[in-house]
Amino acid sequence: MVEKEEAGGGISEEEAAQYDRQIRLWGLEAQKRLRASRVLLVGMKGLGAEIAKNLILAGVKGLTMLDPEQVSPEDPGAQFLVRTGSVGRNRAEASLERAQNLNPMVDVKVDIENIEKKPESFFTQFDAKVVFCSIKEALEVDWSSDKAKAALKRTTSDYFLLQVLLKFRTDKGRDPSSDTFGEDSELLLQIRNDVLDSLGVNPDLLPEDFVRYCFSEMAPVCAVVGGILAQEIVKALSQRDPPHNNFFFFDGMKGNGIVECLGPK
Amino acid sequence: MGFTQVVVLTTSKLEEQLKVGTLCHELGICFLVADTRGLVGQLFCDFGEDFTVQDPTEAEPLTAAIQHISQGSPGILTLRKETDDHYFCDGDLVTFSGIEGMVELNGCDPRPIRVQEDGTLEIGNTATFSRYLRGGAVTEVKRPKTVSHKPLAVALLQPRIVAQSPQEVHRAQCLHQAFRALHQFQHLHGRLPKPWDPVDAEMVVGLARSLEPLKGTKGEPLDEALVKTVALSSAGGLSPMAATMGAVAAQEVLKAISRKFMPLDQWLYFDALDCLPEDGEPLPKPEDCAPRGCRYDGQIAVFGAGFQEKLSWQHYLLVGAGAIGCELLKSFALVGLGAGPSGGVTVADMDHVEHSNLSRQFLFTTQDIGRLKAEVAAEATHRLNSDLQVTPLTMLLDPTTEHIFGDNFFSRVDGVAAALDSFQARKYVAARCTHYLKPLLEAGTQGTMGHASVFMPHVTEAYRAPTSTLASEETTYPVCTLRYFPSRVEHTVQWARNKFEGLFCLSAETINHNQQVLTSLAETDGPQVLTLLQEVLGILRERPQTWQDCVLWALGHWQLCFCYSIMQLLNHFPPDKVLEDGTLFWSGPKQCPQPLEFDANQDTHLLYVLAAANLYAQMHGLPGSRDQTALRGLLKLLPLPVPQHLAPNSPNDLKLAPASAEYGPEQLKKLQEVLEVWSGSPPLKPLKFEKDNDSNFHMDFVAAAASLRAQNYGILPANRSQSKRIVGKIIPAIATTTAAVAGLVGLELYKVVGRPRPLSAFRHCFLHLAENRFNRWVPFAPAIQKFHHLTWTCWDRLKVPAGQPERTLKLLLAHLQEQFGLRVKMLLHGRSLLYSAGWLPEKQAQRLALRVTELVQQVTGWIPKPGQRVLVLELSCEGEDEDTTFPPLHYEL
Repeated sequence: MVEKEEAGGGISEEEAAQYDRQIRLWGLEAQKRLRASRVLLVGMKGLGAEIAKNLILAGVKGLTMLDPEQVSPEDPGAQFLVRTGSVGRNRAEASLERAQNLNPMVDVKVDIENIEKKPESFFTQFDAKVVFCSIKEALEVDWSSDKAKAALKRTTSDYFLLQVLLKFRTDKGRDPSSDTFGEDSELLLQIRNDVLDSLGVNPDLLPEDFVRYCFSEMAPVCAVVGGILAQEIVKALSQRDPPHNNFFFFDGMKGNGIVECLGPK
Repeated sequence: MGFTQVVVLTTSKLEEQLKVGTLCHELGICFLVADTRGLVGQLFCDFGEDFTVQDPTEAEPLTAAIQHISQGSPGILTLRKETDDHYFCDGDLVTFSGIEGMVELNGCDPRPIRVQEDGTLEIGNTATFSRYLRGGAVTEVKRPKTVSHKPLAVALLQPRIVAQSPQEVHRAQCLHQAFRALHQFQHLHGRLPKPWDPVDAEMVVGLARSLEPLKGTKGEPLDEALVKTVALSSAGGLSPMAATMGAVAAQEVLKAISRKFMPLDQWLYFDALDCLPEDGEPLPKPEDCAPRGCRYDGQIAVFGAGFQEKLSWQHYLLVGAGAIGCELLKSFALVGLGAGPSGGVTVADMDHVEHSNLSRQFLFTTQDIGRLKAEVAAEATHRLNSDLQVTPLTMLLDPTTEHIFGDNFFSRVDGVAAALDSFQARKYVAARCTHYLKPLLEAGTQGTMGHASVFMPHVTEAYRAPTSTLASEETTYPVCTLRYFPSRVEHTVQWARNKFEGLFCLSAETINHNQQVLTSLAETDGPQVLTLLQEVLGILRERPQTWQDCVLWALGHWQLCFCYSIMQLLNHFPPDKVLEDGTLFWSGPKQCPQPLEFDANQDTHLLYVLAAANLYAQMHGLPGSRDQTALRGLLKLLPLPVPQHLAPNSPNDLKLAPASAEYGPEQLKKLQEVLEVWSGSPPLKPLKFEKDNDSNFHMDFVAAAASLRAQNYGILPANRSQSKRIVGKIIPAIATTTAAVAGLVGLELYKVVGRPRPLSAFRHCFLHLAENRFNRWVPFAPAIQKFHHLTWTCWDRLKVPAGQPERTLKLLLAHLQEQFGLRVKMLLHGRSLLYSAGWLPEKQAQRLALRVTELVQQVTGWIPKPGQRVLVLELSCEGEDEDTTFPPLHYEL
């Protein structure tokens, strides 16, 4: 029956039952998008508690409650997620139990660090890159066209690093490993030449020392993860029309993130 | 690893907001700032430079049935006549479905339309398409919209603020500056202004004055008094403000994720400074508002410790522990309403917790499903604030419970909060509040729309239920529309629901009943039961023994409903039948039906038989089957039932009026014979319709039956969830709206509890989160009625003590004339007339001599309820106008 088919689209029967009244309001599509997305909520006083409750009830995929402060005596005046007797505990931690009880289907997390102390990478690991073309499309840009050449100046080398790493993965079925440093380094360089050549781009855009980032703890993980994330986001959010093609790159060496718009415009 | 689409900052410093806001803008993360300072709330949204809203509005796409489409350029589409005024607009995009003939349009790319003066639609070139034959529907295609937001760093100086009126724009700009000044104060002093501290407040005003002026404003001067008030109360943290702003902020997050509804562009300021004393009234004192290291400090900072104590003495009645009820209980616990030793809250609700409640009614968890809401809610509230005693009462407030919710009960209640889902119930509760002169706080939601209202005795008007809504709550369709002339999908669903009741519930009950009693059928409950028996026994002559029997029965019933009865109807009224006035019989709202031909390969056909056979099996205590493939195979082997076997009593004449056929002795005898078959067998199991259980076949049956019925009549069928909504009269609901209206109720509670406030302090509220509408307005004053020298409002009454010994009617009437100058023409108790000046003198004299309570007892059979203190009488007087409603007479016992 129609509903069962719809349910097959990713909403379980339990979800359908629990979210019935609000699915009636905005439809199944919206509910699916909701349960594919994470929210970072900073500040868990009364207002934060209210927002947390509403989002958890609505059924987002995950919510991270961040607050570095402790529960104060006046907090229970508006903060209903902390139990009485929690004064002195971290506010986010003290809110976790009741917040999670509101809806076991939501992944509720706690972070107790000050947001101001968070490095930029904090936001990128929580990425929010709205990637609106398929990764394939973005990777198939013709870099020899004039238009692309102009864009090239602004394009981070990480884009090509991602290409190289993905190709490495495709060819070898794994990521570069320090155990096979010599062998992998050579292969990476060769892939660089092939890939950049096939894209019609000067291989020097990705200087040879890129190889050494590929074995460090962070960079390859982040670059590849960035790509995988991007695919996840494509899945969750590709309803935009016309598509805009945003890539997000996290550079583990420089510790910053760059947004790229690639793919057909 | 997850990815974050939205970052929300609350209670955050400006530097932090700018830093994170800039980063998020660059990264394309939707970014929100939400904050409250005392009675003012702020919300900022940045969804990026290029954010696409897939579906900007809440409404379902418009859809309407097609009467005709011409071939031409442009082609003209005529809608079916019975389509209620449609709301298609020029430029709307539409697509089509189910059209026979001009099939090129079915599922076509969106086409723009133009609405002609006569209501027909131009739909572009159709000249090359096939000729239109019949059927089909036109459906609106919603268009996405794109919005562009500026980053916080820019929007801070050049704010685009959502405001409902030009006056509000300036106020919001001043509040914007006040927030900036508060941030600066915090930056300079490392703390917020102290509660009601005039020095701190002046400093904030000074900071606001020296701020860089906002770009793009009209250069109106800063409202310094407003900034000062904000600063004085800015130390407060109030749960109703958190609830309201938290709801709006969460809705914006949901908009960012779901791409449904237009986001806020970009700032919203909300203030409830009307909760503070009026100009000229004494303001709270700093020492009364200083922190005490207790849970109410945030509230004491705004209203003072004295007010907090008043709150704790209150006893409130909350009617309804549903979505709004849960939010209100949380609010009561947090503000400390009734948390003192002499205070308390009573919550009345007789419903049980259901699964679909859990997405809003946050005091309940999965483990509570099936338990009584009032009890679970009371326990949960007690956990939020153990000082608050919540008494659950698991009953409704209605005329049958007035012995509980009576004079004694209400004498201990300070106010009532109504969180109800029907206007009938609200109307009753409001009438009780008017009777007992209790403040009433009331709220409701529908989707992303919500309202909160306050009714204060003698100050505001009393609650009035919207008359149109009262009527529509009890929508019923004429029987003949349902039986023969359905024209809307609602008719088909209601028909299907009635079929369910008749086939699987009433039939079983009737047969069980007649087995037990088995007396003469003539003594049964009239034609209704007989009609029913006739219908049931007609198809149910033999008791099924196996699953196959049930399938055969279901198939037969399919034939009867969707083929044979339609053919029969067309026999009586052929498609070309012309009425005396020359018009076609099948025209206007009467859509000519077509019989269907059974085809096991069609899903709806199969699903109907599957559901009906399973329900039939359940009713007879036989095992069912869910195997669709096996059923399809079985159906191909079974012979199609012959019509004569289906309908035992073909009506000689098809009556179009509601069935009220006379049953002759012969028919009765026949029925009795058939009934004999059932005697001595175990009782049948009547099936109680339950829409929320998806595995019980109930909704499956209704949805399939409605869908087939719609096919008979060329009506665009509803899908299963639409059918469910129509059957259950389910209103879409979401946690955000609920929380927002509960917050708004909480703000009015502050005014109701404190010292007496003038009308101008109170606010009715309406909000529409999907459309960013937030309206608050001062309620009407109660209408003043006049009669000679008397003036009164809906809150007044004529009080007359019964006296000792009790007065007679004669003395009562004399008293009314003497005291109020009223010459009573008629006196009533409820609907019973106690006295009329038009009666013959003997009758008058007899009544006049009686004591009033004796009189009421004699006429109406009234017995005083235990603890009843007042007898309410109504009167009309000589010389009154048609629209005069005299105050009720409270005869004090």
